Amino acid sequence: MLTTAAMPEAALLDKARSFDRETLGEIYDRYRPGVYRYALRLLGEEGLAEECVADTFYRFLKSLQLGGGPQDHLQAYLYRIAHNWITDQYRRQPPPPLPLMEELKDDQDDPAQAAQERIRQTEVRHALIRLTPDQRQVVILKFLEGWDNEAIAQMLERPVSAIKALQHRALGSLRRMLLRQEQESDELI
Amino acid sequence: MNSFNPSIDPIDEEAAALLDVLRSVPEPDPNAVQRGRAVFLEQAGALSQAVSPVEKRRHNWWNNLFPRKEPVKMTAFATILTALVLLFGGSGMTAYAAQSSLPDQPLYPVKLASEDLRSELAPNVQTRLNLQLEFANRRVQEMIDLVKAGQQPPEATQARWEQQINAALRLTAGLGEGQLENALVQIRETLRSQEQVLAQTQASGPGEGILLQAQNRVQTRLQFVDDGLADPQTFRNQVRQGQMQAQPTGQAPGNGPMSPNTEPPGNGSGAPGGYGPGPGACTDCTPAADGSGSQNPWTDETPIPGSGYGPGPGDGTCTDCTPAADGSGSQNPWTDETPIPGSGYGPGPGDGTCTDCTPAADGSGNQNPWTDETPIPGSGYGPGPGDGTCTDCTPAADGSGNQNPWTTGTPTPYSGYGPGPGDGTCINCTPDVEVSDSQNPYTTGTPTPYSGYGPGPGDGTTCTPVADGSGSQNPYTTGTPVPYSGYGPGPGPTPTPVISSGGTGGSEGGH
Repeated sequence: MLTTAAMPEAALLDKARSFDRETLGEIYDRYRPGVYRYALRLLGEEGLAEECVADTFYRFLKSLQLGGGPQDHLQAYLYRIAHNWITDQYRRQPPPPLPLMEELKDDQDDPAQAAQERIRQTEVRHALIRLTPDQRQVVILKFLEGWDNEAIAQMLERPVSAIKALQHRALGSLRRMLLRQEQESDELI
Repeated sequence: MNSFNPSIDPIDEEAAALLDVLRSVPEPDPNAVQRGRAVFLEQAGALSQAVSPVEKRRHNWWNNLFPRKEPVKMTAFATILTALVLLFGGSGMTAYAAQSSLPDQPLYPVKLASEDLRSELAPNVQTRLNLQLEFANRRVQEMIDLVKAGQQPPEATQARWEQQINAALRLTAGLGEGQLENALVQIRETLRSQEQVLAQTQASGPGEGILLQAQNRVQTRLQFVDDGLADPQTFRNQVRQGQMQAQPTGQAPGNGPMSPNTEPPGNGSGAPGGYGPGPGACTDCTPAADGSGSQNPWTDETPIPGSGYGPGPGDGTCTDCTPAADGSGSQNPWTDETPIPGSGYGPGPGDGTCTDCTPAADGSGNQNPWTDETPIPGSGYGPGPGDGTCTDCTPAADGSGNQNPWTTGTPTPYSGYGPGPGDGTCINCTPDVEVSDSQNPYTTGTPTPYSGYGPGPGDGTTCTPVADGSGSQNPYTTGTPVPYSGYGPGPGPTPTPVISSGGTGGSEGGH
């Protein structure tokens, strides 16, 4: 008999539907790190990312309780919930303006460099936020999470060709936005 | 699937380089992970009690007269207790806060707890200040949502709003000269916006009084902030002394300087039961008319009759009793009124197992939980009678579309859903409510500031959108452009919306 750790996803989901504690624990352990990373990259705040993770897994449980939930592709399903949560979060609370340099200084060895990096992170995050939700998801999953186009297509329930098109447009928009931010920064200096 | 393998495609490499700055993510606090796991498993345990098959009820006419409560409520209540114990037992975990929950819902205490945690984790004063104002906005919105749903917002919501505004004022008072002024302006703008929203909300009955009371409180704080801008030193002194509001007349004594301006406990007109803010530390006692009850968490002022808070003699453990205005109900904070969309509760008499029925305002639907957030994929929410597999069909207002859970109305900005049957790849088509060009996620309504959505097919950089759609995806506005009106505030660093009247035309579009 397979341990839950070695169990394929479909079998895990089967057991999860009966709320098997060990199986649910395995699902949490297996997919939490990715969902957390995904949320933190987009939200930029650990507390908020934890909230997203907690709510994502809670919604998953609720779906199971209602007899729903995914038949397969559990990882894609969880990311989709997290993605919607983040989208709702931005709808409720648009991102604040970029922080000032003074606000970002901290106790690291090179405060100026650390501050610079955080500004850059915030810029990139803001640029990502301005993409459409699907574009954003494609970009993050492909270039930060390392998913291939087929997996992303499964998650978004779109053909691979559509994923490529989304990716192409997303990168174009990102490039323009980041370039413009760079120019504006240069003008200020 | 998850091992990152940079492609040899130069475009991919460039993209990877652009995003490289976000690649490194700090490891989460291991304690938070453990607590998150524990909470998750507790939730699973609580929810699993409702998984066992429910005996089918025959659909008799008396089902409508005597609707059953949902089995979920009790389990959710137990789960909250567990979650809260875990929450306050350590750092870094925010359990399963339901951000859309309202004060009469089971997950609401967790929402509040998660707000406190976020505030604690905020890295600097400005972030903390922003959060307090954001949370205060939530309180106002909650009051409005409740009133719109025909319910009375609890006193606790106003009290919480007040705490959050006070916290923002305290943070501000600790700032240096220039920063203090900026922060006060920020608070003033927040309060003004809250005042405006409250004033614009149509309400009748008891809810109207609550909103007026809230508006008065906002105005009092506004006055205090204005005074602070005129005289920062006095502002600092007053905040230090806890006098965080313009001094009103007829202040109720005994509740401290931050207490709202209300009548003493037990003296409120029409407040049966005489419950109020006793001096004890007990949080689940029954308050008494002479004030000797407890520090009942629900209110520290005269409670609103029928508000669903604390009127009854119960021990606070009953989760499905009906609170009554005469105090005979219980401490049950839940509602037996028409559920609020998004509350997770449905009006109907169903057995709670149906996941794709359409709830109805008259309660004839079932227990299908409503939502006004983005629905959970696969949750079965949706208007149509389809088989639930279609995820990109066009929903129809008459419910004939399918089970597409997203919307039958104008798509919500950022919801990622549009009305059209296209292939989903078009990102610059003009959506059309009649015959759609695409799954363009953009709105046919007023674009959201900063959303970057515009009506035209331009290159999304610096153009002015025009009425015929030939302008651009001008991302620059900070104002609210009129859809298809043919104006845009342009790419300047401090954009000002140009209000053009009545569908100005393409001549304004310039590149």
